[in-house]
Amino acid sequence: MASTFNGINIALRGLLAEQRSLDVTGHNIANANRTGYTRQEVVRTAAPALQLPQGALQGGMGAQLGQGVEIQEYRRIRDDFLDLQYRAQNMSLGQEATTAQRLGQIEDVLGEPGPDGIGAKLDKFWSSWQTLAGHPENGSARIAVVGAATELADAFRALDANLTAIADNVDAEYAALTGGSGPVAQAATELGRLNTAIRQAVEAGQQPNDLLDRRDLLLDQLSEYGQVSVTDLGSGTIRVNFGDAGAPLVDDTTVTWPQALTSPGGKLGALLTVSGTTIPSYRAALDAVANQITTAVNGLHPTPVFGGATAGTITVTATASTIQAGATSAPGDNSVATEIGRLRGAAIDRGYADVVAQVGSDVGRAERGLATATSVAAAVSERRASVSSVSMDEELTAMIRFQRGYQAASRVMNTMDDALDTLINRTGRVGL
Amino acid sequence: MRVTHNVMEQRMLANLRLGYARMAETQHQVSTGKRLHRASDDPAAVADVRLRQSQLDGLARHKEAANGAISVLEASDTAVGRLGDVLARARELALQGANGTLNPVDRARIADEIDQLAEAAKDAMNVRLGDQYLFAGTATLTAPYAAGTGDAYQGDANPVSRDVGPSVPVQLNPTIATIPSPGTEPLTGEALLGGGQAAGDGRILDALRDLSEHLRGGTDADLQAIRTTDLQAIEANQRVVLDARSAVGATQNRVEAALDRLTDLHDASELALADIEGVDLAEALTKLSSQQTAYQAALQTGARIIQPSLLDFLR
Repeated sequence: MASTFNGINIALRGLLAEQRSLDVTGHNIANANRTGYTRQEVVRTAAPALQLPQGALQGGMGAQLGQGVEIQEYRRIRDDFLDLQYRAQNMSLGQEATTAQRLGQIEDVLGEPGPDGIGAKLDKFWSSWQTLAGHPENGSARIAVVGAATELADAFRALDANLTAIADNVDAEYAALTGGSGPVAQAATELGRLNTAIRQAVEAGQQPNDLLDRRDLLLDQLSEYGQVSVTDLGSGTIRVNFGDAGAPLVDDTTVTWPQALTSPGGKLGALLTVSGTTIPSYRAALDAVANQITTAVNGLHPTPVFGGATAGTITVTATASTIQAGATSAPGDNSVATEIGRLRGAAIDRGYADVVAQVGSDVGRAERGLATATSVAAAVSERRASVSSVSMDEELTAMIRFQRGYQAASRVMNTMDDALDTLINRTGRVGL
Repeated sequence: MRVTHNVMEQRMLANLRLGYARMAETQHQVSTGKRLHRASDDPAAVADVRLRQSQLDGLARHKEAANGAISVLEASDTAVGRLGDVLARARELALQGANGTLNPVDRARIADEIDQLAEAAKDAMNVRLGDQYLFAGTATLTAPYAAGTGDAYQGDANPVSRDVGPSVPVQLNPTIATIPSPGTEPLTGEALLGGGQAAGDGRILDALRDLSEHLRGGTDADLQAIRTTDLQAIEANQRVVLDARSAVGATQNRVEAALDRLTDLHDASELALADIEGVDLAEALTKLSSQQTAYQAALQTGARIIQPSLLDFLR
């Protein structure tokens, strides 16, 4: 037999459920624009039914009387698989963005096509020799040759220095990102702390939704820097492997950082590639061109014109008085100047044009890669948002629903109250 | 797919960014008139443009060299022409002087004129263009025949060449047949005038000095020599001078033809270069206009969609 006051309990359960639902709706709306927020919903279940014994119903059977609603859980609506996809794409995005940015800087210092690039200086250099060949007696033609040669050597050294500066800058950025106060270290420390807090909550039977949100956000941010792989260790804790580091970055509460990385993917991987492979290859190609110039010109001129055989060391050792137009001392002999002038358009010019084309195509590929990675990452992000983000219209509609539910439940409460009032205060008062 | 306002806004922003970037790129092309600003715009084209610009520069230098060469050849032609006049006058005088009826005073006067003709010949060979003596071989800063050194040639016998095209050399002092045949030498003062009586090479100075000497001598043997060996020497030198003039003329023709080719090649290369790196203005402006329209449409529709929400309608 159900208690007299059973109805009030049922109404109360209804009120409480609607109130909690309104709370969750309020939480969703307040956090709708927070990055990394996963919407929550209340999952209700029927309260355990009251067993009515045999004889409660006509025909002698028993029954189960519903006892209202209970909240089963505050569910966090998130798709873990989409998280995996997103982190992989975010890693690609970080990698392509950094590569495109750094290669763009390299392209800028190259200065081609343009009047200040090495190509223009080469043109001027060949022209100065051709002019000397046309006026081998002329002293100012010799001064012009030395001037053009100096500009050319300066341009090579400046470009090499700029490339080195970019490489140093890349190394510095890498050190800052992987250092003790860099974003990776900070994320790792916080992940360790979150693991502890989440474990405590889970073992107490609670569901720490907001802590889980924070942890997922940290993992998203970490994935930009390198490859992140997550293993569930049970009790809500995780192990995080970062890049190709030997030990896990975070293993429950143990944080192992800094570690050495060779090919971590993401932004760090791009920085390592640019500094360790790409820039050295460009410098080597420029060194080869500079070496060709030194060798070819010095080979044709009786005394050395250039010193140094790399882009970083090439200088002009000849002066206006040591520049010779011809092999003999006859003033009208222009054999040397003619031969050097004929080097135009041959291996040296083509070698340099190849370097320019290589840089251009690398930058183009990086930019196209960036465009692709951006759009794929945006698509996955959209999918994730479609599952987990808050829709204002949904929340407002739900709010109306819960409000009405609350009103109805409180009306039930009133009705029960009136019924009991009648029973308690007015039954049995015959004639009063 | 469940679309929330977050999703809408991010999509709209991404598309607006793309549209704006496209417009900015087209505007940059239109305002500079060039399609290629960075090596990555079209790497193969940029490399091609680099090589073509170098080629154009080279062509300009070759044109300068060709023009210089033509000046030199024209001046050489004039000088050699004067030699021809000198020899013609000398022949007249030789015929005159060979006449046995002249008295020593008259013959002396003719001999004086012959000496003057020799000096005129040396002056012709001392012609300069700028710093450069044209008939001194590669010793271009030395006068072929100097005042204090008599008839001795001061220059050398090397060819002077200029490139009037890529690896297309032309010899400014073309090689001619010299006396005694079958010798050949580049065209210098030495080749035409020779070293005078000291060298005894039978060339112009030697012939003229011999003639003058014979005229002053006046003996029968001298007069006989004038009639035979001197006249023959002068005529032989006249043939050499004609040969020299035609060689210079032929070289000049060659250089002028090369200059025409260079000019054509230069113009064609400039056109090709503009084709590769220039932007088609009509096409770019049309593209810009359509991109602008698309951008405005994106802005308007986006603004219209992201504003309304349920809040506007709830009491």
